[in-house]
Amino acid sequence: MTAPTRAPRRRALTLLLVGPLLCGLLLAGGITTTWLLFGEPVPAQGAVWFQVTKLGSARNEGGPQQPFFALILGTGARSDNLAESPDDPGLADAVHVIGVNPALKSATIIDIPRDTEGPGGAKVNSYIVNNPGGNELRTEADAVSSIVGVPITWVLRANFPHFQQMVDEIGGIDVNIPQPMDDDFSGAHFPVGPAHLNGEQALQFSRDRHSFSNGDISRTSNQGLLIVSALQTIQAKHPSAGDTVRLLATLGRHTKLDGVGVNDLFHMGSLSLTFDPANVKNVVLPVGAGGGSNLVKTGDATGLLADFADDGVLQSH
Amino acid sequence: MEARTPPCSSARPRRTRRRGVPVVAVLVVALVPALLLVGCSGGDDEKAAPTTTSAAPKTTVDIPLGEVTADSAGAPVTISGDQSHRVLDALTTYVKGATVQPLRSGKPATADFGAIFDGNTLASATTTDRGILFDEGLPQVAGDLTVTTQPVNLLGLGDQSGNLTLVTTSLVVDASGATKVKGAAPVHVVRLADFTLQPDGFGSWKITAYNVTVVRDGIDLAPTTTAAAATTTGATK
Repeated sequence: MTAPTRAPRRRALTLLLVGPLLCGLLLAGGITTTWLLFGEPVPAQGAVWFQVTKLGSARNEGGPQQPFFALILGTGARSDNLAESPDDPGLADAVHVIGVNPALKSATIIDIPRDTEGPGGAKVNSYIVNNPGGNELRTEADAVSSIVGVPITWVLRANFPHFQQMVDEIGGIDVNIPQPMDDDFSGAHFPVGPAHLNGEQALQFSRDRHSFSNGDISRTSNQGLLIVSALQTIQAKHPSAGDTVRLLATLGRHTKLDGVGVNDLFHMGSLSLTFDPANVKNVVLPVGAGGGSNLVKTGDATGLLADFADDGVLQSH
Repeated sequence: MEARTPPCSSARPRRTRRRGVPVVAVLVVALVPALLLVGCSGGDDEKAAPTTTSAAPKTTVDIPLGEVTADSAGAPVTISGDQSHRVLDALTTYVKGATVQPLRSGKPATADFGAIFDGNTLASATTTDRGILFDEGLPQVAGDLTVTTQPVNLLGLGDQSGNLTLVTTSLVVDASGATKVKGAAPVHVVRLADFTLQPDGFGSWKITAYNVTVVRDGIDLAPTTTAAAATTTGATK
């Protein structure tokens, strides 16, 4: 009695299982046959299956990978030939140690007042003229290194005429003048606020110490500010690689170098142009009264210089 | 009960035979073309490539020299013809190794890039910035691969002693070629590369700095690799 009902059920079940399989095979076969007979399906004219556009960029400026320290000196010499500079024997009244951290794209400028006492009790601005016939830049760097406690590998020095010419050749510097300046000695007469300084004015701005109650402390701070401002001014022009070559040629023409070549400066210059100026700190070395007119590092300097020495960047100051 | 048995037992095989004919036909229609297709397309992509030409497609990389100038921190310098030639040699080696070979083969670049990058840039170029500097992971170009470059200007920098110390270049390369996917857009690569090269002391010029931007479009592109290293920045948009 059960056999007649089982057979249709089995057939239905078989059909249910085999049917979809056969339909799938039929469909696949049909598509395959069509593909073979008429070729690969082509999308509508002008269309593509997938169109992906990707943009990427990468840069490597070369040059140092690890933190390093450079010394920037500005002397009062009126000529490359000191015999033609009776007003000044070439004392370094601008002394700035720059710690550069390429990985962090950060830098710190430590401004050292010219009267800061160095090894043997001399003022820091004088070592450069106390080594006649020797390597005056290295002598100065060694003295500064002992004050700051970092190894100085690169030294750049400019005197009055070369500084002026250099600033003029790069097209001047935009500076936000922090304090009013009215000084006949240097010729600096500037109100507070933004100013575009040519070479002569930039020199006046850098030399003025009589406009401030703390004299050379503000002056050295302004010199550091001018360095940061120069970076900002150049960055604002979005220089190409070719522009950077010309800038570095200009720098090389107007500076004396020790421990660094123009090609190193090119790589370093290219890298520094990628720095956010906000990541370049400008700090005056904390100093107080010492013997005579000398200044000596205060207790505050110890922690600051330790923070500076480890990676060229001030994290806690 | 027994009288019903013979018709039932004899009818079932008949129905099965009748139903079997279309099933076999369907299977033949479905499977034979599929087997034919498998047989025709078996093997790797190289074997399946169009057989319209017997000679392998060739790609010529010819980088024309543009304006050659120099500035100097010391005495005036010039870039000699030989120096220009060596710089172009380095750039040509780069284009062939970074673009032509990977697109032609569909495989990673195998050239000796240590011959044209210094140690510092080689490290970043072949690791963190590899996805930007090398056209790897793209569909293989099956037919002609067209590579065009704009004239390359050279700008030299002289040191304070009047020696040529480095050369900067701006290389613009446009490469495109059809892939094996019919109807799909060709792979198209445009690379703008500012390279700085310095002499290595053995007569060759090596890349010591780069600033590279690349735009690729086409089908089925692998993700562009980016990363940042010590003095290396990478970014994608």
